Amino acid sequence: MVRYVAGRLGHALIVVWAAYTVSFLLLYALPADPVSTMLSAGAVDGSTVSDADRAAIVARFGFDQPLIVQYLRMLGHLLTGDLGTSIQTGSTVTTAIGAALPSTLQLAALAIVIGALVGILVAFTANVVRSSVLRDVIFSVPPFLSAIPNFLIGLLLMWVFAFQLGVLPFRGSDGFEALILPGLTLGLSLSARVGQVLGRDIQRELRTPYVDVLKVKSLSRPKIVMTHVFKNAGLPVLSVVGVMIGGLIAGTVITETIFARPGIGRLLQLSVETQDFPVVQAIVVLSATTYAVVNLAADLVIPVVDPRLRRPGRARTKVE
Amino acid sequence: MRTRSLSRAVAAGTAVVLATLAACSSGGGAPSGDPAAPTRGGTLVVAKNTLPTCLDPSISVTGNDPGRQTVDTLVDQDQKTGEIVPWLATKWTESPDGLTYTFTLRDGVTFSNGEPFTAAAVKAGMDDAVGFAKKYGQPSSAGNFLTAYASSSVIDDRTVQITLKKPSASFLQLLSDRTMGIIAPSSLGGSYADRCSKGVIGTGPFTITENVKNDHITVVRRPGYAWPSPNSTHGDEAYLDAIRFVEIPEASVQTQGLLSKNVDVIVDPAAADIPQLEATGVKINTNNSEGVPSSIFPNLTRAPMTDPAVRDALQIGIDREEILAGAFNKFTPQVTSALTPGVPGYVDLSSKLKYDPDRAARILDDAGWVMGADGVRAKDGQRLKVIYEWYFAPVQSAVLLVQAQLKKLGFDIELKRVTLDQIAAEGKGGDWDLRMTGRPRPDADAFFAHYGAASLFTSFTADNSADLQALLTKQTSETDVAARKATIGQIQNLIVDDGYGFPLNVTVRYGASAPNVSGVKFIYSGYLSFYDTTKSAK
Repeated sequence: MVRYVAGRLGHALIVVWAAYTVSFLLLYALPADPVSTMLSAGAVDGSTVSDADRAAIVARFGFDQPLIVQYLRMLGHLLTGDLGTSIQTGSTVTTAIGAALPSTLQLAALAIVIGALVGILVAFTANVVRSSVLRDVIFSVPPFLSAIPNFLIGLLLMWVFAFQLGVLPFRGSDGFEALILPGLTLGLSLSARVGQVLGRDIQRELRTPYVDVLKVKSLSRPKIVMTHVFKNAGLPVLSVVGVMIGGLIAGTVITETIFARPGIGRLLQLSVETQDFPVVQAIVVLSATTYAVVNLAADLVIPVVDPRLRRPGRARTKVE
Repeated sequence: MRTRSLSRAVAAGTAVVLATLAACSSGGGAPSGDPAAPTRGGTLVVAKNTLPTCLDPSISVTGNDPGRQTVDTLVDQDQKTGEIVPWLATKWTESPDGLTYTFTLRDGVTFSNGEPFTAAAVKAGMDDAVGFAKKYGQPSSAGNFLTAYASSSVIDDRTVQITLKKPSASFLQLLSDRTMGIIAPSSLGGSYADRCSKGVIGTGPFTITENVKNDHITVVRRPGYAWPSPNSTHGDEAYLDAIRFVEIPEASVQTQGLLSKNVDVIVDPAAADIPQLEATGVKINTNNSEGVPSSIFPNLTRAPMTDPAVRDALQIGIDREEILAGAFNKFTPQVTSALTPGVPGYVDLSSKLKYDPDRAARILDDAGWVMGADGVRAKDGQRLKVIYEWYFAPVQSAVLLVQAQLKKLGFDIELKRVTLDQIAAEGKGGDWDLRMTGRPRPDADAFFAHYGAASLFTSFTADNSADLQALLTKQTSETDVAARKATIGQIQNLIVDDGYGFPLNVTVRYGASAPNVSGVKFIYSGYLSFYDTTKSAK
């Protein structure tokens, strides 16, 4: 078990390092460094900067150093927990992320809750209704939701609840009210995948022999699904939720932009636009770490929950 | 850069969706009349697609409407004539050699923290700006402005003398920009992060009270303010109690915010939304960005643009009337010279810019550019192939029209969409023949950013445009106003005659304000001033 955990942990570290390195190379392969960008923006307005001042500024950010030196220095700082300073604002990156993180965590938490609840509800009802027409209709909800782009769901919700009914705020992050529409937007998208996976698995489980035995014992269909089938069918959902949480930061970019929430996704988008490298790098590391940790947790929890996966030799098989 | 294209795609998508939804809903609110007397009080909500990352107006110009409300300047530029008028300096004298300016400062002005406004504060601000890059290791707008500055000395509390390294005819105009707003000496000692996130103490009509990154910035009315710019329509405190600048990244959401009365003012609304806004009584203010109009610049370091005949043909081979009608809206004026009309020294050269395809074709024929069977001209085996770089999204339709118009003349134009950073990185060399840029600054010194030998965006050097460079240097050191205007006129003629630049369009900025809001003004530099703004009950 110790070897298994150590192996998974090493794997997670490699993922984070690779994400950091690839994003570093991508950012620094861009044609202009952020300092030149800042200086050229000033120059278009008709002002100029002296060569001495330019050199002082470039040297301060280390852009005059060879790429490998810049990389190793930044990696060294990262290992000591120093994420650097934002080029745009002069504040530490830790401050910027610390300010944006709570908003994103609230959004992500609500979205996961909504995603799980709606997803389970859809999968459950689809499998217990007797009318085959109704069942087909309910089964088509998840594919429908995943086919609609995230921003469209957001705008429709905003249109109805903020601009027409005027019951919820259309932007910002003041209180729980402002969280509802963005949470629903992101949550409904997540629910599509939960609903699809769980719905299909319940359907498959219902065709297995042990369910026939339960039917013979004259248990009702809802009861069979709830108490027996769900336990077996629910396991793959754990993996799906794991992947979803890892990918949440990408999802929040769009949701936070539409609802003007000052979170990590919005910070990432603006930092990419202004070439604020230290902030982009830090968010990439944060995102990769979240992804690695959640997957690690899923890898460790699933064998505990599912006794079938605890046999030696099968322990490494990840359930997808 | 995936996020960026993603956000563009989302922006395009949201615009379509909300416009469709709006069309489905029943009509908007009816326009209401302006109040007879100015209303005092109220909080104005101003939507911007991003909030400034730095609130200190001496550090950052970009989107810094909030920071600019907190400072005043020594002089201002007259809203109608562009002439320099007194503000915090009541008068000034200029030495005959153009190197020394002596300003007499206004009495009774204080900073919002109670500190008196004195000659020492003016000197401290100037010295901070020129030493900024060395002190903080970051560029600052004010530092970039003051390249001609040598030193200043305090004569007495009310008199300050500024000495320049070389004569600079545009020095007073620079001082009128809010970038040169006077900052309290106690603010100058702060860290870079503090100056950016908290803003600075100024003498202006508003003070910053709150800055939540990427969410909102609040400025409140300063009690006791009594020294507005002569461009203002009243003389005491600002009418509004407060202004809340909120970040709304999506243009279509901003529009719906304004229509649903959640937002009072939008800066630069989506052009496509303007008719819908006007139909519901929303007021549209426009501001022509004064300076060098958006222009196409030739690459003088390689053929075919080294051929004067090609440049001459291009100048009159562009149909600017068709471009105005086809690519811009009713608020956009026709471009008439290498400068916009608001810049002192402007001359109207519209006759020289008139579309004349027949003469353009003759010029090319005479120069030996023979029309080929494929519709592209060639000379000595070289096809008239041109790579045209552009970056500014709103000019896309204009760029396509230029391509179509020049195709008729026998040009083979390859369009290359780039970013401003790429242009700056490529510099004077690189694989391009035409480039399109243009940014405002209401003084002829704006020429330098585009036509100067040091420009990062064009190909001009001391050798390939010696006549132009000599005139540019001459005008900036001419302290006699009439003589400088004459030189500026010569420069515009030279640019148009020799095809150093091909003026295309005047950039227009928009402000949209709710029917119950009045007095939202663009000031000369193209930024909004809310000092005279009122908001009546809805």
